[in-house]
Formats: sequence, C-alpha cells, structure tokens
Amino acid sequence: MNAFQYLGRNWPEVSAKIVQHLGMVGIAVAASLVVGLVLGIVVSRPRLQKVGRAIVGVTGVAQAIPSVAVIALMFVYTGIGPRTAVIALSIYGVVPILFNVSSALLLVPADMREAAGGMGMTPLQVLMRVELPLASQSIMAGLRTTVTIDVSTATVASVIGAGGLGDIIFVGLSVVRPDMIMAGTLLVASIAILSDVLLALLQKSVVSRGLSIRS
Amino acid sequence: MIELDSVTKRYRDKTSVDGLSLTIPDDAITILLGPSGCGKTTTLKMINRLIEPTSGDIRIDGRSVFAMDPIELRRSIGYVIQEIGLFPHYTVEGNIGVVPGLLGWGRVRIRRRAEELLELVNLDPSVYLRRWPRELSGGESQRVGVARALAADPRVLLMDEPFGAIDPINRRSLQDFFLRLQSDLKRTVVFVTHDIGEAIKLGDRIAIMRDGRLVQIDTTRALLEHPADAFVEDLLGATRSAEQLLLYRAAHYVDTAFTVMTTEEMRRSGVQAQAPLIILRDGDVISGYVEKGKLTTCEDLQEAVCRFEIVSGNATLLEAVTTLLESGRGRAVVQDADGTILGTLSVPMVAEIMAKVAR
Ligand SMILES: Nc1ncnc2c1ncn2[C@@H]1O[C@H](COP(=O)(O)OP(=O)(O)OP(=O)(O)O)[C@@H](O)[C@H]1O
Ligand SMILES: [Mg+2]
Repeated sequence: MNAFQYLGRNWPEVSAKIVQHLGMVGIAVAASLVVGLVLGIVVSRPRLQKVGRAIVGVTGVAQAIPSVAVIALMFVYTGIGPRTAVIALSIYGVVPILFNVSSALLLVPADMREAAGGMGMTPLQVLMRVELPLASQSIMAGLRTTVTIDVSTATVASVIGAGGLGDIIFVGLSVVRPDMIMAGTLLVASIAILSDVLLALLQKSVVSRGLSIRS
Repeated sequence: MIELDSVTKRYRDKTSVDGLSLTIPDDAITILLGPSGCGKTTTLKMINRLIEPTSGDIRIDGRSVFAMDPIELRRSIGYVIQEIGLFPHYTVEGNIGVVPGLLGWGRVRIRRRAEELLELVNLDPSVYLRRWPRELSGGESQRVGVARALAADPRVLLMDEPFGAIDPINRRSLQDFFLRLQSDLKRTVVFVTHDIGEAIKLGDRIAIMRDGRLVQIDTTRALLEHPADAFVEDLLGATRSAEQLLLYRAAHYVDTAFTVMTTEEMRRSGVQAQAPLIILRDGDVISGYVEKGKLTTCEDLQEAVCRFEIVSGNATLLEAVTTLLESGRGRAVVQDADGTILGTLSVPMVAEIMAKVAR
C-alpha cells in the first residue's frame, strides 16, 4: 500500500486524528496569542520598558529550547493526555509571539507616540491606532512561527498520549508501515503549509500597505 | 491669547524651563528662538500638556489649561512635532483625518476636509489623497504635516521646527507658503526654530530664550534696535557683514520706482512710463520686467523683457541675495503674501543698503 491508499481506506479514523490535531493546535495558538499579546503590550509600556527589554532578551534565547523538552517537562507535572500537550504547546508557543510583540512595540519610534498623544489620542487609542498597526508586521510573523511550531510539535505529543496525527506516524513506526509514516507526514506538512498560506493572506489584509513601502 | 505665568519645568538634575512668563497674542506668529537645549520644545509641550510643568500656570483665552481635559485640549490645538511624525500606516487622507476622526466626524466630511486642506497646501488632492507618507518627498511631508495640524480648524497652532529637516530652497518656499496661508487663516501660532533667518522672516514677534528663561520678546525691528543684552545682540547681530543680511526684511528695502503694466499696455505706451522700470503683469502672472531705457533701443520688444525671481516681502535680504545669486538673474520682484508687488531688489542695491547700515 502507498500513503494515498492508506488514507483512502482509513479516512474516518484519519479525519478524526486531523480534527484532534487541529483542535490541540487551535486551542494552544489562541492561548499563546492572547497571553503573548497581553504580556507584550504590558511590558512595552513606558514604565516597564526595562522589564520589556529583559523579556526580549530572555524570549530571544528561549526560542532555542527544543519543543520536545517542554512536552517532556509538562508530562512530569500533568501526566499523559491531550491536556498536557495543549498546556505545553501554549507555553512554548508564547515565546515567539511575546518576543515579536514586545520587540516590535519597543521599536515604535517615540515621535509616533508623541504625535499621536499630541493630537489628542487617549493611551488606548495610541495603542490600537498607532502602536499595534505599526507592530502588526512583526506580530503576524510571530504568530506564523508559533502556528508552524505547534503543528509540528503536536505530532510529537502523540508519545504522551495526546492523540492527533502523530499517532499515525508513531504506529507506522512501531509496525514498520512506511505508507502510514508517509501518510501522517504528508498530512502534517499539508496542514503546516496551508495554515501558513492562510496566515500570509491574513497578514496582507491586516498590515497596512503603507508599511511595506521602502523609502 | 496664550499666557504663560512663571512656568517652571524641573527634572531631577536639570531645570529646563525656569520661571517663564510670556504672552502670546492672537492671530499672529510668535517665534520661540534660542540655542539648542534652551527649553523651546519643553515650553511648547507644556502648552498642550504633553509635559506637565513643575509650577506656574498656562492660560488660553483666560482659562487655565490645567482646568481642561488634556485629551480635549490637545484635540483643539494643532500640533506639528519636530520630526513631522506622519503615520506611515495611514494614507495622506488618513493622516489628515486623525483629529476629525477622534472628534467623531463622518467619513464624507473628513474626505471633503482633507481635499480642501490639500488644495490649501498646494497638493493636488486627486494625486495625494491616496498616497502613503513614504511616497512623499520631505517638502510634501511637511505640507501634509501642516495640513494635518489644521484639520479640525484649531485656533492655536504649535509648530516645533516644522521646516527643520529640509534643504534651504524648499525651506524658503515652504516659509513663503506658510506666510500666505497665515495671511488668509490668521491663527495664533507658536513657532519654534533655532534658525534666525526663519525667525525674522516668519515672526510677528520673537521671544528669545536662553537656559529656560525668556530674555526678550518683541518685534524684529524692536529687537534689532534695542537688544536687551549682549546675548540678544550676539544672537541677532552676527557681527560679520554678510550675515547681517539675515536681520533685515526685504520688504523694508525695496526699490519702489516701478510701474505695473500689462504686456499690451507696455507695447502701446511703455515709452511714456514715469518710472524707469516696468513690471509686466497679466492677470495673476508676472511675466517679467523691462527697463524703460531699453524700449527705445530694442527693435523686438520681447528681447527687452528680463526674467526675474520672486521673493516674499517677509524674506530676509540674505535670502533675496541668495536667490538672485543662485538664479543668476538681475532683479527680484518682492511680493507681499497677498500678491501685492512691493518693489524690486538687485544685488548692487543690497550692497548699497549694507554699506549704509554698516555706517
Ligand atoms: N525628560 C527629560 N529629563 C531630563 N532633562 C530633559 C528631559 N527633556 C528635556 N530635558 C532637558 O531640558 C532641556 C531643554 O530641552 P528642550 O527639548 O526643550 O530643548 P530645545 O530648546 O527644544 O532644543 P532643540 O533646539 O535642540 O530642540 C535640555 O537641556 C534637555 O536635555
Ligand atoms: Mg526642540
């Protein structure tokens, strides 16, 4: 059997794994995004900028920690199952988003904030209408990194009993079925590519065209 | 009228503004002039409460700004920051529409206002409305910056070196443009600069600051005639002769021996003109000037017409001379902000004026 025949014959089970996989990734990405955005915004406020710069340093380095390590560590505390996987992915996925949000917000030129404030924007309006739009390119890049990492790391989470597409690959590995390994890999890769393409489209509509002009 | 009443701003290790009292009259341009770090920007930002003073009071039309909501106060004041600060993620229209948007104007009204303001600052709305700030030249950005500050029709404009980062030629034309604008709009403008030429050209009154204090405030002429102390004298009276040209406005020294005629009138009866110089003006267009003497010797009238430069009446003599030397033309026609021809200037004339002034 080749990978496509395997997929065709086992579609009901496979589609259930796809849903599981997307579910884990979806929840984890949403959690990372909320936490990363909120934290990133908080640490980039004028009074906390020292903390912000420290966070940028730490998260910059933390991105070098392998994702498997976080899953293994969470397993020690919360045991097997998808819950552990989602928590581990959420924590791990915060890092690129927090890094990008805080570094981009810290880089918003002071004269932009000042012009906005001087024209009578409230601090919230300055954030929503000036700071976040100016940082949007970088925020979207962080989100895309997190999604890609989560899609691939969720596969590994199969070893702690989280389910998802990793199951197909690891079962294939234990019974030496290259078609299964291939099928699982193809699915994970497709999801990664597809979600990135969708996010790229989203990025295009979210980021102002005025920012992509080089001057 | 804006009154600053012994305003002080003290930072931990530095007093930026020190007991500054200053009255800024309505409908005129008041310049804050002084060396870098003397507290000009700080003073400006205290007026719209971007910086809170350590002590003292600031009143606009008798009301203390500290009794007002700072957000509303800022929306009612036009502000151009030192770096212009157009938002790169908004189009020109979006930038001009910021304050109107905050005030809750509708889309259509904002669009109409943006078009109107672009016309006012001499940018074609059909071209510029949809442009992004990064697609603008330095001069165009400054114009949009001014338009944005005027968007909600504020009575008070605070401008912090708005024409700072720009080449001298564009700078001059922006200054001319701003004077024309002000002669129409008559706003209460506080204009920060450390360029003396700019101060003398634009200022109805000049406030000279030093180390956070007011040294003197007066009209240009009064400052020149009665400088309060050696600092003012030094600042204004750059002692070397060529730099002195900076201190005098072209309008006060023009040659007024001229008549204005249309090209047709000149053809018919130019020879009988009283003045030695005929300026040709057809409608709004000034096409050249003719020295009367040449009319009799020239066969072709067109040959007798000389091209010239236009200089604003508010321009300094230095600017007039620079313009003439750069263009290689013989004379400049000096024109008021409302288009009235005040007279003409030539390089030899300026040399004569300077010789007189030196004595
Ligand atoms: N937040 C601050 N903390 C401490 N000192 C400050 C602060 N802001 C400004 N100063 C000091 O106050 C003084 C006045 O600054 P200000 O920006 O008003 O100068 P300026 O006249 O606008 O100068 P320039 O022509 O260079 O723009 C300067 O010496 C500056 O270093
Ligand atoms: Mg300044």
